[in-house]
Amino acid sequence: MLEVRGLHVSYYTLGGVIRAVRGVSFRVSPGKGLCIVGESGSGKTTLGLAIAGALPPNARASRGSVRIDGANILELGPEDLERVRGSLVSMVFQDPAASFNPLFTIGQTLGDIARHKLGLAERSEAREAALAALRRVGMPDPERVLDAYPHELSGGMLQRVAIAAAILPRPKVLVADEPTTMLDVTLQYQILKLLNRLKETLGLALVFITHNLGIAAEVCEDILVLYAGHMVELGPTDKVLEEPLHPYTQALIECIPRIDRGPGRLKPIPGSMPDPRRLPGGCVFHPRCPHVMDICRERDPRPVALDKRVVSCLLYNGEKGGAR
Amino acid sequence: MSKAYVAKRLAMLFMVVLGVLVITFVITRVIPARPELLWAGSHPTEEQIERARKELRLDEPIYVQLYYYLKDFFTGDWGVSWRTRQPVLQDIMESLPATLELVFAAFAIAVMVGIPLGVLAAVRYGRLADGVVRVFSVLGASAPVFWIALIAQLVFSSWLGVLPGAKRVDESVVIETGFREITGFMILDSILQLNAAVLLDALKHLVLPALVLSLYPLGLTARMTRALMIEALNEYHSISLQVWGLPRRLVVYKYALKNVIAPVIASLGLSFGYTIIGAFMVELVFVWPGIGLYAALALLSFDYPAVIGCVVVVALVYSLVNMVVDIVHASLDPRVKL
Ligand SMILES: Nc1ncnc2c1ncn2[C@@H]1O[C@H](COP(=O)(O)OP(=O)(O)OP(=O)(O)O)[C@@H](O)[C@H]1O
Ligand SMILES: [Mg+2]
Repeated sequence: MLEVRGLHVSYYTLGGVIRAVRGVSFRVSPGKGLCIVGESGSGKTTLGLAIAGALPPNARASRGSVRIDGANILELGPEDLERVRGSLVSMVFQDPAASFNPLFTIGQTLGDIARHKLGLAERSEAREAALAALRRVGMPDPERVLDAYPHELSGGMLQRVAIAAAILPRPKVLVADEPTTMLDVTLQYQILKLLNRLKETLGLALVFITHNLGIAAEVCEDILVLYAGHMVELGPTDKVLEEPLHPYTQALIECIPRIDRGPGRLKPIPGSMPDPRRLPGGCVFHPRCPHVMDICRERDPRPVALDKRVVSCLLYNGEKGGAR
Repeated sequence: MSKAYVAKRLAMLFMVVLGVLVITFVITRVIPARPELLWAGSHPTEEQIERARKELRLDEPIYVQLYYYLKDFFTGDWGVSWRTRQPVLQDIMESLPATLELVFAAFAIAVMVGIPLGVLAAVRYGRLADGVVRVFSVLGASAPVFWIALIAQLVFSSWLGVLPGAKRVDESVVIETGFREITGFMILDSILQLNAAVLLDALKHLVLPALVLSLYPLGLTARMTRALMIEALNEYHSISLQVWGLPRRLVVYKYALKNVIAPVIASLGLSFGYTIIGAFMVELVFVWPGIGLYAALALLSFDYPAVIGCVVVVALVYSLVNMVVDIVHASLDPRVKL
């Protein structure tokens, strides 16, 4: 069970403090998937890295907790983090070609993971574990892949290998950060299917990050919509997609191309994401919101539970509840 | 490594040697000097000078001189030194090992000290150790070798007296122990003959000049290693390996370090030429009987065949070193095919 509660993450840079994640809470049960959706810069990767215990040195999780089976990742020291990474939680990234050191074979990389995370000192044992992980992700000809260098494999194969590397030490949580963005459409679908299967057979709690709401439904029971680090809406996938409550979610859904709606209906969201160093006061979305009210410029909306989900919008807050 | 690659490199080597030969030959002939005076001995008569001009073919047009020179050169006759009156090739073979020994020692120090320093600076990025390494490497790479050599000699040899300040070895030790030259590399020869006394004495003589000469490549290596290491550690693969659970020290010292070694060695290969020039200076100061000292004396006495021979040998060594560097690079990086 992955449980994130009230998480805040900031980057400390020479240009100032960037508050990348601000008050995010959710749970993911074993065998279930949660999709994190948001525009570029909304803090998806930062959130993923915080869960994976791999925030860069200039980042700090200032508030909240990330618990996996009860243990708070954010409270661990460097040594404990090293132990937990891979074994309890792991992550795959957008660019599979950049995820591997080009000077080492796949077998050397996977072998080292097996040696260090599963304690397999014997060379043949480590190789066997690497082979098993490759078979688990449906890799054809795993023996050949082990002896290959990263540049000898295609992007789709490498993404499979990356998933194999991540699940090799049998983590409970897997964060997939836009794992299909750099792949072509048929491969995207295969990777989604693979993640679905692994999630169910291995009982993984899957956190799937994407900026494409369209593929969210393929892998995830729940959707979390992020905007400028804020959690704007969280709920079951079908609910969120069919009856979005937050104006931002509604706008995002308008952006998904659909054959049943015919041409000319795609509406890009007007305006752009605010500079993370100078967020607007009140609700962060108000400058772009079609339903903006006076109060939105002053008050920060609190997440409220409504219709099986959580939404942060003043349209649904307190006295204005349900008035839309 | 393909046959085509080897053929291409050998052809390039030949072109380099030919180009260097022609250029240095022409330069030495257009300098207004009268080497025949040297060749003709002391107080020569007009007649003797005329005979010397004939013997040296200085009376012929320059292209005829060049033709004969090239023909002789490629048949192994590099001419006779006008100064030592020995075949130039023999002179060079006698002095080259001393220079190579010095340069190799300097490069060994540069690699063995520079790479760890660079890694240390990168791992402690922005902290005290990083600052110290950066200042040291900039000083090392920019200090004038000649000056440093003089200071080092003055301090360690003249004042403190802890290390010898001239020559490769103490002649008396050589004679007492019956040491013979085999390869011309003092360290190697003394090991081959299990001659501890000469080995120790040769090492003592080598330390100071090698250290002075190593400063430039050492500074370069440390700076390059630091920059490349910081870059490698910021690459996605260094991050993903840690996210997948590998310990940081493994990611730094096994994975990222390998990304650093190949380009550092490549840059050292390129700095080889500069280091040889440095070696010439160091040899002058430490009276090191290498090719630098030989070339300097040849230049001062307008000893053309010796000068050309030295220049060609340096070009040849430089080309060979860079060939080796390319091969090492290819063996470290599977993406490079030769
Ligand atoms: N290492 C870092 N140092 C400083 N700021 C950072 C760092 N990484 C990210 N940021 C900033 O934090 C904010 C959130 O970035 P993040 O990468 O989490 O967004 P994202 O939703 O993953 O975007 P994308 O879709 O482009 O991947 C951005 O404003 C970004 O500029
Ligand atoms: Mg991202």
